[in-house]
Amino acid sequence: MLKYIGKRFLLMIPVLLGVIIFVFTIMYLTPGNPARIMLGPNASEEAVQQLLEEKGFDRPYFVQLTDYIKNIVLRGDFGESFQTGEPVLKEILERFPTTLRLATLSVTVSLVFGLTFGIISATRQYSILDKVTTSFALLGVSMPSFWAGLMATILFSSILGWLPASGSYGWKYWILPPLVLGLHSAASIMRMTRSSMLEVIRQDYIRTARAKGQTESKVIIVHALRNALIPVVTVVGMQFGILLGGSILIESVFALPGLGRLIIGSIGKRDRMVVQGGVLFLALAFSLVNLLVDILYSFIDPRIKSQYQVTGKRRKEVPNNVDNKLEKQESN
Amino acid sequence: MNENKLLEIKNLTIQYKTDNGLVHAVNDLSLSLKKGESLGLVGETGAGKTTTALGIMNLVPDPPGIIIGGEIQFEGSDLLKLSKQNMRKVRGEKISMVFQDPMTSLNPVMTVGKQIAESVRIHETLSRKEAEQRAVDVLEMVGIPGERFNEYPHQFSGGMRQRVVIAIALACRPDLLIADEPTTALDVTIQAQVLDLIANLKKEQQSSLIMITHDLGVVAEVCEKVAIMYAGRLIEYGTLDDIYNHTRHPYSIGLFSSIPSIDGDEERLRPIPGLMPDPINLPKGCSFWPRCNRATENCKRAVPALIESDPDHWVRCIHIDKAGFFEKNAVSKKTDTSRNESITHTKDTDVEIDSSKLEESLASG
Repeated sequence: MLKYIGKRFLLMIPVLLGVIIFVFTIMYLTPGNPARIMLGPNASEEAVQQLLEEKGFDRPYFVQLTDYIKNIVLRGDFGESFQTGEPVLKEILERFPTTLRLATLSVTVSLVFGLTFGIISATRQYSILDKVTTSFALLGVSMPSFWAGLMATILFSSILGWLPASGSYGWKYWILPPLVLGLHSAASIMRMTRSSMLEVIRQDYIRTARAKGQTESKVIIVHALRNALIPVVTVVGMQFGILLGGSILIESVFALPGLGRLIIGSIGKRDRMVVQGGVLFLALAFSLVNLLVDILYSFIDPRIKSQYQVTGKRRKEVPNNVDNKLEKQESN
Repeated sequence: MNENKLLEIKNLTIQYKTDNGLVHAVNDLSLSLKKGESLGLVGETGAGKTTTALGIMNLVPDPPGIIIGGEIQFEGSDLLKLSKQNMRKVRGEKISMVFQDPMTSLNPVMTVGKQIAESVRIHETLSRKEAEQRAVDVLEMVGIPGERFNEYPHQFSGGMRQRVVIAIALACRPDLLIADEPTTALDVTIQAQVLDLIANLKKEQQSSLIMITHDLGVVAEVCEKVAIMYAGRLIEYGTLDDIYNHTRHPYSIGLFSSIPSIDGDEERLRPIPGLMPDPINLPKGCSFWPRCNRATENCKRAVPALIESDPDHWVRCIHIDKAGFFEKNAVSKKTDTSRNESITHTKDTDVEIDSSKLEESLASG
C-alpha cells in the first residue's frame, strides 16, 4: 500500500512538470510586456527596457523556462507578482484558506444532502418522496451555480435581508456561498448515490443480509451503502478538486478573496507569475485529491486494496489442502 | 395443527406484477414438513421453487411480488401474518436460507467472519468477542480454518464461499434450513462435498431441510420426501421411493426419462418436448397439457385436484385413479418417436393404449 502511494507521488512529478511547461508557454506567448505592466503606462521606454533586462524577461524562452523550473525546485521560489511585487507563493497562500474553506464547507453540504436524499429516494423508489427529490436534483444540476448564487443573494440579502450579500467578515458571510455551491453539487451526488444504491440493493448479498433477520436500516447502512460508495466517492473527489480550483464564479458573485479570483484577476492584468503559480498550485491540489480518492477506494473496497498489493509479493498462499482436511473431518 | 409438523403451507399464491402482465409464480401451493424431515422441491427453471422459498422467508421482492393469499404455519403461527419485527426474529434464527449463487450472495466489502458473527449477534445477546468466537467455530464446522475469519469473500473460491453461506445460515442453529439450489453454481466435485456437508450438519443439528433443485440426483442423495413443481403448482408429492420408483405424473415420468442412463446405449437425449408455459398466460386446466402426451379435452377444462394414489403419494393428474393407474382411454403410447407427433395431435384426439403396457413402461423407469 505504502509502495503504491509512493509510486503515485512519483507519478505526480511528470504531471506537474507538464502543467508548468504548458502554462508557462501559454503565458509566454500572451502579448503584454511584463516590465510595462510593473511600471505602469506612464514610465519611460528606457526604464521599461532596463527593468526587462534586470528581471531577465528579455532572455530566450528556454532559458527563462529552465530558470523558472530551477527556482521552483531548488528554492521553492515561484517568482514575484508584477502588480504587487510580493512573492507569488505568499499571495497564493494568503488566498488559499478562503478557497479551501469554501470547498470544504460546500462538499460537506453536498455530501450531507446528496447522500441522505440519494439513499432515501433509492430505498423508496417511485414513491412521491423519490419523485420530488429527483426533480429537485434535476433542477439543481441544470441551474448554473452563478445564477443560483445571484438569485439566492437577491432573495436572502435584498428581499429578506437575512444574510450579507458579499464579502468575508464573519460566519454570516459563510452561509450562502457554501449552500449555493454545495446544493448544486449535492444534486449530482444525489443522482449518483441513488442509481448506485438502486443497483446495490438488488444484489444477492442484500437479500442474504435480510435473510439473516437484520433490520432494514442496518441492511441499508451497513451492507448497501459501503458497496454503493465507490462511484459516489469518485464524483465527490472530482467536485472537491474542481472546488479547490477556486469556484471562480461563486467567489466573484459573493466577492470572496479566494484563489479563483486571484487567478482571474491576474489573467486580466497579464500577471504571468501569479497565473503560472496559481495554476500549478491547483494542479497539485487536484492531483492530491485524486490520490486521496484512490486511497479511499481501497479502504471502501478490499478487492481494490488487494489489487494495489499485488506488486511483487502476493498474499500468503492458502494451503490447498483445506478441502482435503475437510474431507477427513467429515469422514471422521 | 399436527404436533409433528414444523411447517405447513396452505394454498400459497404468489404473483409478480410486471409491465407485461401478472406472473403467476406460485399457484395454490400446499405443502407440509415434519420436524427433522428433508424435502426436495424439484422443478424446471421458472417453476416457482425459489419464489416459494422466498415466500416462506417473507422475502419476496415487493414490488413486483405480492403474496396473494394462503397461510404459512410455522411453529404455531402464520408467518404471513407476523409483524415485520417478529418475522425478522424468525429469519436467520428459526428459518435460514442458503442461496443459489455463492459468488454474489456474500457482501464483498465485509470479512466473512463479520458476516457470520452478524447473524449471531442479531439473534443472541452475545458480546462481540463471543460472537466472533462462535463465528470461528461455525467456520471450522463447515471446514474452513478459523484463521481465515478476517478474510474477504474475494479471497475464497466458489465452493469455499458456499461453505461460508452455509455457515451463516447455520450459525444460529435454525429449525429449518432452506437450500435454494446450493450446488448449481459449483462444479461436480465440490457439489458432492457441499451436499455431504449440508446432510451432515442437518443430521447434527437435527434441523429440517427444504432442498430446492432441478437435479434429481441431488434429491436422491439428501431428501426423504420429494415435491415436484410445475408452473407454480405442486404436481406430485411423495416419499423418495414413491417418486423415484412409482412415478405417476406424466411430467415426472418425462423428467426421469430425460436423464440419460450410464449403461444405456443412448445416442440422443430425450427431453420433454416444448417449453414451460408462460407464467403470465398459463393454459387453462392442467398447465402441463400442451406438452403432455396423454392430454385430452378434459385436461383443458379445470385444474386437476391432487389425488392420493398411494398412501401419502399425491398426484395432480385427472388420468390417475386412486389405485395409481392411468384410466383407460386416456393414455397415448409412450414411445420416443411418437412423442413429438403426439403432442400436436393429442390436443384434439385421444390415442388409446392398454393400461398394462403403460404399467410396464412405468415400472421400467
